[in-house]
Amino acid sequence: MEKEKIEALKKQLHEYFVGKESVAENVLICLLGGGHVLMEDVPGVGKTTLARVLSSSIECDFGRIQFTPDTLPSDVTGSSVYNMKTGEFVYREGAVMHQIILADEINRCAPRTQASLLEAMAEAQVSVDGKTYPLPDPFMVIATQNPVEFLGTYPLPEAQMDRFMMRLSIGYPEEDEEIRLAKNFLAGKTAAEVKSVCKASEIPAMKKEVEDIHLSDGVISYIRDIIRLTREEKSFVSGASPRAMLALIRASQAKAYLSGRDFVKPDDVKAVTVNVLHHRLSLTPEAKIRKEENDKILGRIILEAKIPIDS
Amino acid sequence: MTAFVYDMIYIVPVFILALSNAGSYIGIPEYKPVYYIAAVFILADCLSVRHFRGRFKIILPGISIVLVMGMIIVRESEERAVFIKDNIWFLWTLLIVIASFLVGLLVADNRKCRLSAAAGLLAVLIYLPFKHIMPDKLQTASSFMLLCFVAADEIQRRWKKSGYTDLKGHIVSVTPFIILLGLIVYLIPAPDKPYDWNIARQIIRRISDGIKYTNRLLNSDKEDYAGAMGFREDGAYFGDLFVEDDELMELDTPVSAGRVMYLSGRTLDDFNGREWNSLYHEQYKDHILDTLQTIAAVDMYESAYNFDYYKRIDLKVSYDEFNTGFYFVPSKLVKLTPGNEKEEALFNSDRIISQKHLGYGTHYDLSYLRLNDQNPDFKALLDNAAKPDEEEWDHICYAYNYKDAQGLSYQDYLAYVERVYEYYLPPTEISQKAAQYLESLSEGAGDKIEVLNRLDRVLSGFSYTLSPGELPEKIKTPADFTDYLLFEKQEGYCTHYATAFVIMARSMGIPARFVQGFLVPLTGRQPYIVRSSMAHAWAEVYIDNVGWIRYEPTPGIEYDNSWKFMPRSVDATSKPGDAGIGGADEKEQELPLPAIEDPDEIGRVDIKRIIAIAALVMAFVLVFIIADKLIRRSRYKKMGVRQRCVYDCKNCIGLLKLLGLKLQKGETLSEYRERAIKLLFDGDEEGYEEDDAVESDCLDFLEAYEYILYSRNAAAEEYTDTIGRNRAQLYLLIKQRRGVLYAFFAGLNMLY
Repeated sequence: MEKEKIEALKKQLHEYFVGKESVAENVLICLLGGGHVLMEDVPGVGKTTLARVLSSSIECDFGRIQFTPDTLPSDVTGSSVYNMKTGEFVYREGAVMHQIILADEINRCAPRTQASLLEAMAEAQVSVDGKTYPLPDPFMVIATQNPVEFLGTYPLPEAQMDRFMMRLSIGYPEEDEEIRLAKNFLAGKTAAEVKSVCKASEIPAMKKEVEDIHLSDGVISYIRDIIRLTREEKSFVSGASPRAMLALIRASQAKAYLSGRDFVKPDDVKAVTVNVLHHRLSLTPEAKIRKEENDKILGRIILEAKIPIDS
Repeated sequence: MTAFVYDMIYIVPVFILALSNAGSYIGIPEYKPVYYIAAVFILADCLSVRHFRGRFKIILPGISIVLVMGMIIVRESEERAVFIKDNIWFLWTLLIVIASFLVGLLVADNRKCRLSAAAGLLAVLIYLPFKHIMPDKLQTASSFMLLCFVAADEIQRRWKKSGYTDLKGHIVSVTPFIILLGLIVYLIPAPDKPYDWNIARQIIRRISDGIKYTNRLLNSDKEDYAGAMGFREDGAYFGDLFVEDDELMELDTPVSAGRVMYLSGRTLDDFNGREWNSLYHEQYKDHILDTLQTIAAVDMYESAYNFDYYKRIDLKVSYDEFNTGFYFVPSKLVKLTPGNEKEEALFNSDRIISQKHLGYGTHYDLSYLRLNDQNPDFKALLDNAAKPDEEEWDHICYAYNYKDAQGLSYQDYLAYVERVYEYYLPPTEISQKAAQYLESLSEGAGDKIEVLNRLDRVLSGFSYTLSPGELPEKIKTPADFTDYLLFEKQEGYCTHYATAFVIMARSMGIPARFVQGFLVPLTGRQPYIVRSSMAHAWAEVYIDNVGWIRYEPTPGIEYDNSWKFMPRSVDATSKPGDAGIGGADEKEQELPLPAIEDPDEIGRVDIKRIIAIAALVMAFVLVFIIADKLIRRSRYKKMGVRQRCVYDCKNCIGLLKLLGLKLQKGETLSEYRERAIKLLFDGDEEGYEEDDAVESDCLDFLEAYEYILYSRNAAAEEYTDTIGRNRAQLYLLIKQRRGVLYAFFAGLNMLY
């Protein structure tokens, strides 16, 4: 059934988006898990391309908000405009009313604007002048921020980081990937010509299937063990939240779904843990002085957690 | 693992402390290691009960109990009671070890206990020296280690608040260093007395001795005759004998050893006219042979009254500020035991030396025979001693079964006598004048011994001076020297007189030698102090069939070291010589050498017992395994299909472990599978051509296991076949790659 479509989707993403395969897969996981992605990377590695290819492949409409310090909440959510003909206020859609949104440089806008977007992400709806307008389904935000330039930015607070299912970084492509990129460029292959693989309307059904993926008690306690270990880790200010655990569960399910299985294996959990958890945890000042890194600590924790192999 | 080591850190020092303290109270067996081995065994049992999981808790204690029971059971009933009575220490050891184990656990687990134990130990360590009690080095080292551990623990605890330490792990990682510290404490030389700052003085002393020694080495060619009298070679004493008066040794004897004691350092055989040298320097136990010869002579002469001729004396010699490689021993040495067990006394023909430098706190024990050689009646023995035959010699060797005398056969004795004549009686010429003088001395003397006595008296009548002046250049031969002393100078010190005496004796055809050592007056309270000013030289003369007898030709040294002969009883024949020989014969008949028990017999009995005990232990292990299998079997039968599959899969993982593939921490089953395939089938396939029977599908069970574990309502029945097949394949694989032994274990493992 959906297996071919998913394979095709993966293939298409790989064809047009040049970069780590795992990034594309993780974006799909977020899509199917109903989460949002925070891309943290230097400019020009293909964040926009990825978002575009994804939206074209699943026939979603694609919106892009370029955040600047003067972007207002109403630019995001939309606003009521007075219609002189009818003499009524009419809601005019904001940039958020798209199925796939690329929120570029999200840390450049004022916290107020950030908050409005994040509310939309969490609630799947926007409120303007007391009226709520539901967002389309599927709805997915791919926010980006530049890890290098911090001047004049408003870094996302912890609480809002928590709303992203994953933080991904694409990084520079490998040698042969980059050559492939050059060849594609010469051949004139662009994201514009991407053909659709499935319809946007099919995505909610897939999401439903993801939710039905089975987690055995052992795997649940494995996930819980990982979460517990992050809370016990001395280098973190605080451990992962219960919301983080839920995100981890959903991401694992989506990962299993992408692998064509109807149950979650510890391997799935292992595969997504770092990306799901690393932006939710912050290091203590001492740990920073020791030059520790979230990813490394999480990698250690994954090895420490007890794999469930007793019935 | 960390928990185990952490426990050990506290248990082991407590264990050592308890064991070494209690040892003296519970009557441990003569062969000490047995005590320690037993204790370690019991400790291992305790540890296995605490740290092993599941059924393995029982196996080690079980084996130990069976071992002990076996040892008791294999004995015959009468023997058994004696055996138990003899080994009652074992029960005490058991109690002590268990108690120390519990205390160790308490100390490891409870901070308050740990701190109070440390404080107590510290208090005892401080208190003991005030009471002038020297704790054992091992105990000191282990308490020191315990204190270090507690200190480390406390420091870690403080750090723990700031979150930088995982406590146990950190302490475990400092363990090697603390153990090293403990070892250093154990190995550094401890002062003899508590708070003894002598050790600092000794170190300074050693350094200054070193300087002196080098100085002597550099200036040795300028030294005069007197200089050569120190104890050269092998780190001998180099103090300026007559200027400084150092305390060199302390002597301790339980019984009176007479008024003076001669301690000989080395004997010299070759005199070139100016200096004595040792040419005869080979590894022979001549000291002991000499003693045995004297014993034999007395035994053959008058065995019933041997106490009239010699007394055995035990002596403890402690070296103080003395830098030497020699063991100083009285003549007629019976046995010599270095204070340090690892030390070995090397017997040389002319001296007994140590492998290492002695002195500065080392000590040794010895026994020797104090001869009644100044008693006039003793002279009869010198005249009438008979040569021992082989039977007599063996009898003496057997009767006086001294450790150092073992392996000295009659042939050794004969060779020894030959050597004595060869080395100690070199052709010696004296001037005509001296020969004439000797002639005049021997007028009317019954035998040569009488002449020697007369010569001794003559020399003793000369005058003694410590500053005779330098020896004139013209003196080049022994003959020159005797003429110079006898007819020209007529004064000098011990070396001069002894030398002259030896030369004269040799000229008469009697083997004689020059001995350097100490003459110690045994006056005042024990211990007797040997000072450097007591250094002395004297002569020894070899009396046929009796051995070396000391002569003291130096003027001014007169003493009576003899004791009276007991009145002979009526039964004894008037002629002591006859009686002696007769007695010896009778003894020979009465006491034939007892037949040694057939060693094979003893060996066989012991082997039987050992086999019986081993069989018991094996039986226990067997019963254990069978019981284990039975329990597993009954449990397995009660399981549902899913549980059975899980159980089988775990068993398969166990089989993989035998192939060298252990499921690592944090490794998922699919990762494990990939690793297994890579290791088992990707490697050099050339080498395993013949196992085409087993392919990588033998790892399918891991996938099945994943399904069973993680998926919803997995029908375990589907996988039973796969798992069963995989088990068989894995067994085959083990057999092919690891050999029969592993396959045996695998088979054992698969049995349920």
